[in-house]
Amino acid sequence: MGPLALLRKEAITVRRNLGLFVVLLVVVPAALAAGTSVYQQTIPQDLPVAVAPAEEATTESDVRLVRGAVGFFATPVDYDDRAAAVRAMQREEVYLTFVVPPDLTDADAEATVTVITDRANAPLSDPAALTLGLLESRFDDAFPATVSLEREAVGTERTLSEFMLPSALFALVVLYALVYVPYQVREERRVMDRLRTETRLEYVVAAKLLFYGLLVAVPAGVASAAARYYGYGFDALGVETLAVLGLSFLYTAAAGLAVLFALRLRQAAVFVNLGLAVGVLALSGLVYPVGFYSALRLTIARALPTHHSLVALRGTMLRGGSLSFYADAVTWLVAATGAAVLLLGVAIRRYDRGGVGG
Amino acid sequence: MVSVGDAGFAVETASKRYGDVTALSAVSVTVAPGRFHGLVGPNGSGKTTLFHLLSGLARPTDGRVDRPDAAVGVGFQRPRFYPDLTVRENLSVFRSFAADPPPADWTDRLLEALRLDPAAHRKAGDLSGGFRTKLDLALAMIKRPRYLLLDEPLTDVDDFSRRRIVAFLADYSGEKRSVVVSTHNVEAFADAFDRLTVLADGTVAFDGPVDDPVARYRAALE
Repeated sequence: MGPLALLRKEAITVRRNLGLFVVLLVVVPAALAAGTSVYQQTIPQDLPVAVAPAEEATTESDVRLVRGAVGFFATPVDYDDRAAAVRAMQREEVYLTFVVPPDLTDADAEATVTVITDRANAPLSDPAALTLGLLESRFDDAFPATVSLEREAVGTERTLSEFMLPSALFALVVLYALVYVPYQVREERRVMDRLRTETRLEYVVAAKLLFYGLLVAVPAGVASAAARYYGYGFDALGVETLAVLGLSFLYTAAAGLAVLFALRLRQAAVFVNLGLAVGVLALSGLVYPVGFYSALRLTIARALPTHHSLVALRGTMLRGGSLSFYADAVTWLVAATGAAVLLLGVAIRRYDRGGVGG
Repeated sequence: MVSVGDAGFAVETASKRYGDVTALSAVSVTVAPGRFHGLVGPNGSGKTTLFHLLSGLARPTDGRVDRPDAAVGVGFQRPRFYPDLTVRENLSVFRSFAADPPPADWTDRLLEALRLDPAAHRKAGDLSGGFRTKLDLALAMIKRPRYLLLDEPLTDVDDFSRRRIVAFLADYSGEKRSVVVSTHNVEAFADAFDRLTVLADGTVAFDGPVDDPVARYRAALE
């Protein structure tokens, strides 16, 4: 067989598996290229920050001055008081808190604006310190009063290594649930028709989700052992952390399996799921705050349940927070789970009605 | 598709179309208890499509298919099993699906009758074609079903094993149990079939009891 014949054979293979090649060579690169468009700047311009009055004497004009002054790097969000703003910061709704004193409009006054950071948010520590240096002179120039900045930190100090551990664990769970579990089900595609004659596919898939979902405790245990070895002072085996990991596994695996059954167990489904995994990990705020690169990235991240998984996971692991404290994020996870399971049910039903497998 | 107690299978004027292609056209067939029923025809006659309707894996475009409430075992033209499990593990898993599994010695009986013993502890995915077919047959029979539907159950099987399998299936069918075999190889089951449905071009060319299946098959196709 000559080289031309071999090349012709490859061309026939591409034609026979056109869907797979379209996904691999067109859809995934297009998605990756489109994904780069959300990284619009290298310094923060749209970071959500809290602005709250320090006391009742603080006027709307004082608050408005601070809002205007931070606008060059941040999107300010108003809170009624410091405590509400700090709670929002620990839920990653905002990443810094500006506590505004009264009399900023009084040229004879001396005022101190307090900037609160969350010690658990390690990636923001250095950028925040740099930004505050710039801000102090900017505030003093812009406000009638003589203004100084005071930095205050809340929560337990976490290093960047510590901060990365929940992110790494979550990335692993996403790849495991969205890529490996559908791949494993596809490997058993030859037995699907027999299973359909013996039981319901819904039971088969539910058993898979239960079994592989319980196995998520293993990487959580490994991460905990690593955290103990390095003396991080937290682990991933708390009931609340395991609940977040379990729900995250459930909705991502259900979504991955829905894609697999919708594509009738074709190989292309594995690549679609791989593309989805890369996409959600890139856009969910795995490491940097979601407003860091663009307002668009913030909007996309907050529309993804994976971002809310990360918020809840960092909350329970790094901050020791309760699920009730992260109720909004948990509600997202529960809703995502319901939607993904529903989609999976529809995909299985369509697969079941579509005749015999290949 | 509905269940109708233990009166067997009843296919009533069932048609099956895939786009513009009509695989079956207004086919009516019954499978009664206590039969060794041959579902025969040349390649492309529609017998595998009818087999899928009987096994519940496909739905008719028109018409209806009534299935019995009793246990039904299905054997596939392309063997269906867990490739990462051994032969015995596959049998154990599928035996556990049965609501009322037969005694454990039924598994050993199947392994012996189908000459699967030498491969019992081998990974199913590593088996040769003949052993794969025999494993698929064993899985179809593992819960000792009242109705056994088999699609080309002798593919890749050696001659000696073929005769042994046909004899075993003939012995298995009887007053209480039925075996339905979809095949183009009528000769292999010539001594076993007591009823024949001959399909040609998606329609029934003959359906009824037979004494000489091979002669009846040839006559139906002429």
